[in-house]
Amino acid sequence: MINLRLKFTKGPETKYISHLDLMRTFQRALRRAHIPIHYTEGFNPHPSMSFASALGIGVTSIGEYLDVALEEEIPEKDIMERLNETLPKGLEIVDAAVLKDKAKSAMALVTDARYSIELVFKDVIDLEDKLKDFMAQSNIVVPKEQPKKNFETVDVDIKPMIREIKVESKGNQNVILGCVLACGSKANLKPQLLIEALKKYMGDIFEVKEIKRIELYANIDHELVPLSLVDRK
Amino acid sequence: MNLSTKDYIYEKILPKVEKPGRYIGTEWNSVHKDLNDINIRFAFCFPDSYEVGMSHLGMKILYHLLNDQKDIYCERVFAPWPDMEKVMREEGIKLFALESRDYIKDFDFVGFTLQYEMSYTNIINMLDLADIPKLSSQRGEKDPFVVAGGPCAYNPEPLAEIIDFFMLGEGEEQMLEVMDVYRQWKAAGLKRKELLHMVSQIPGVYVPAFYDVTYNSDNTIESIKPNRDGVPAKIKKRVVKNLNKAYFPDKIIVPFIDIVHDRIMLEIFRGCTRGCRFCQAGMIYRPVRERTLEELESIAEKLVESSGYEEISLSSLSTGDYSKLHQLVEKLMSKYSKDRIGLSLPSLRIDSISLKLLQDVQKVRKSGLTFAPEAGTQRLRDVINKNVTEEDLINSVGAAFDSGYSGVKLYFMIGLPTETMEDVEGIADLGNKVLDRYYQVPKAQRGKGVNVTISTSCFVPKPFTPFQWEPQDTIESMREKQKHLQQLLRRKGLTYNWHDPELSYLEAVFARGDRKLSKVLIRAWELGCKFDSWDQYFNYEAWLKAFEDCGIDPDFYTIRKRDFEEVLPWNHIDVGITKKYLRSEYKKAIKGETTRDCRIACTGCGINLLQEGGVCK
Repeated sequence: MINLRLKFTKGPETKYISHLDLMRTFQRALRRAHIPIHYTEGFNPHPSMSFASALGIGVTSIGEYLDVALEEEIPEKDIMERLNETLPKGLEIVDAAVLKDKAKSAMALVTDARYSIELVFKDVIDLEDKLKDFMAQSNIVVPKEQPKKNFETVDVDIKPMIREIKVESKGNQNVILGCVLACGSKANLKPQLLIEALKKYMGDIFEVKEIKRIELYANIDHELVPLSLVDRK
Repeated sequence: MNLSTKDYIYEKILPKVEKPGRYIGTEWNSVHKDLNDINIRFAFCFPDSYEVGMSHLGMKILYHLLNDQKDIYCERVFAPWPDMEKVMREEGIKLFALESRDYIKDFDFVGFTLQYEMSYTNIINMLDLADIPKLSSQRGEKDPFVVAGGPCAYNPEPLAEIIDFFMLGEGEEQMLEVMDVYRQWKAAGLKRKELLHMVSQIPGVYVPAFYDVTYNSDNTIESIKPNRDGVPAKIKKRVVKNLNKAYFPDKIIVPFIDIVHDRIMLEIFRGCTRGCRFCQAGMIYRPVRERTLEELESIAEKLVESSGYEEISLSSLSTGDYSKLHQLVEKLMSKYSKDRIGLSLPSLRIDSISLKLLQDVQKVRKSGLTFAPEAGTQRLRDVINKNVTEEDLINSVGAAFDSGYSGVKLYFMIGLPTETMEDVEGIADLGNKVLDRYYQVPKAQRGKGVNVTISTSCFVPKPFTPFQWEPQDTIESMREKQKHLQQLLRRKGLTYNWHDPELSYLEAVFARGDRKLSKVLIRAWELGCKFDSWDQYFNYEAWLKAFEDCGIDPDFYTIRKRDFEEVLPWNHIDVGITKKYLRSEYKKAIKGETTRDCRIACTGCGINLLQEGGVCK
């Protein structure tokens, strides 16, 4: 059994595809590419594959990860080429790496995610100052829906989960925010919730044009390392 | 932000709806074409949800058949789910085709497939959303041609005022003939009316506006006659003579989201020889034509390769009747099981032989088996010519229980012709005997958690069946029968499911309805009816009001017994099964006489005379 980590992009064509549907899409693309996946043992065998982190519906990404166990070794370059021929438009493999033995799964590794969020403001404003004030609050509390509890909301302080937020570039009314948010099983902040908090703080003065995930990181010795660089063989 | 309508739909509308994956149109194997190379744009419309429509084999075939033509661009359209419809109406978005997101009002053809009567209001709703006039007579030179086909097109009359022309029978050849005629018409720059005349010359094409219907004083039909020269008095359905030579796509669209039948459907044969008297499919899809083993293997190989699906389902009306079923299953299993591609065998009559087959195929799951005795007593099963005995059933479920199955589903109909309370009680009786058979298996050997599910549907008499003249049972009577069964099926281990008879009542109206019903459909739509086959949207009161507003008594179509001599609304349609045969089958039914499977020897239904040279194998 060979453990493989694929890095892929999810473009505008597939941004409305949910996590579960994406899993099925990959299974079928792997089958079309004749890449033999390892199946779990047991009563109801299923393909051993897992994503690092679910991406919200409507969000695009250039830094998604999928771990797949293969039955046999196939050169990484071949896998990328074959899979890119059988994936639907809007999904593309940009890196494939065989992992060391006993490597942790991408899902277990991920702690942080970088996003680029394009906002369109109704008027020109000094966003840097506003962001500074926003982050200077002692806490940033927003109501969060809980899908497992009938979508009842609970108040969450998201401040500790915002690791970094800054203006990356700006035009007349368009601003691109760069931010690093907690991502993973320990703490997880969806960019949509951050946007709600910003709207709550600044008022309804902008529209969201695009949310794009840029990279997923593991926190290794207090340093954020892209998942594609962890445990490569 | 200034977005084009297409981008606006994608960026602004889709985030507002549940399951946006229904509307994105870029699924694997979907076809996208450059409009500069296109002469004909065809919107293939399924008047139900994406999940239902995408599960339909006919659409998959015709989609690729049309797109294989260089100058034709066929795109898919489904009924937008009500949440999507609401946003579309609020934002002034018209009905668009999935692939290009262009409005279908600008297409050459808008084609509906008619799979069940209770989808008709969705057709009206889709035309309205598309901004296309609902009545054929209101459409002008700039409007698309609204066409339809599929099994319900054999009684096209309820939609006669809405559809410009129908294509009757199998579409693989006829569709391309229609496209050829359209090319000529378009090149010649002729008027709308002229195309209708041109297509009426193609066998199997029915242009309702070219026929006049006159009525007797009791509202029955006096005559259905062409109102001009040169159109056929009878329209014959089309049949593909040799299925092995018929078009079959080598790729199918693989949806992103989960659909009802998310697998390869391998059509092993068309038609059915059993001759069950209630079954419209068994009559209208005749004659039986099988695909050869070689052809099926070749199709399966191409589809597995191009789709990546993990399951192949053998599709037909009665899988066990395929002459080389065991060889086919063996071949497919030996070829694909190592790749973990599963096989499913729906529509299989379960006996001890097929049970063994089923167990080979489904290695692990022993969850449920389905049996369809259809009626509770031998007498009534003889009436409907369902040639299954109680002994057969008990033997089959016995074999299943013996080998570890613990779940069995039994399907029945209530309201069948000649049915008495005794027949209804027979359903409960059979259910109990099946459960008794389970308890005969030694405790250590039998599967745990027995569940015998008994489902009853309400019989709907259909055109082109021996029961086409029969009244439907009344709603009150069917309800009484259901209540009786609820009382009788209270034993632990038995579950009883039933359908509300109101939906079946309406289905019966439209199944055997005439032209006067077009206006009822439009009125029902005005009163909010759509997605009628979905419980949460079915509004019986609105339907009753629609009939009342139009001055039409629905009972006329349902609980009225027709005379053999009556001119039925589908009198001008020829599906190949003769009236003489249907009448003789009806008479035998009333006497409780059965008719043999016509594979044993011809029973003279007439289908071999439909085309020159005959097509029965």
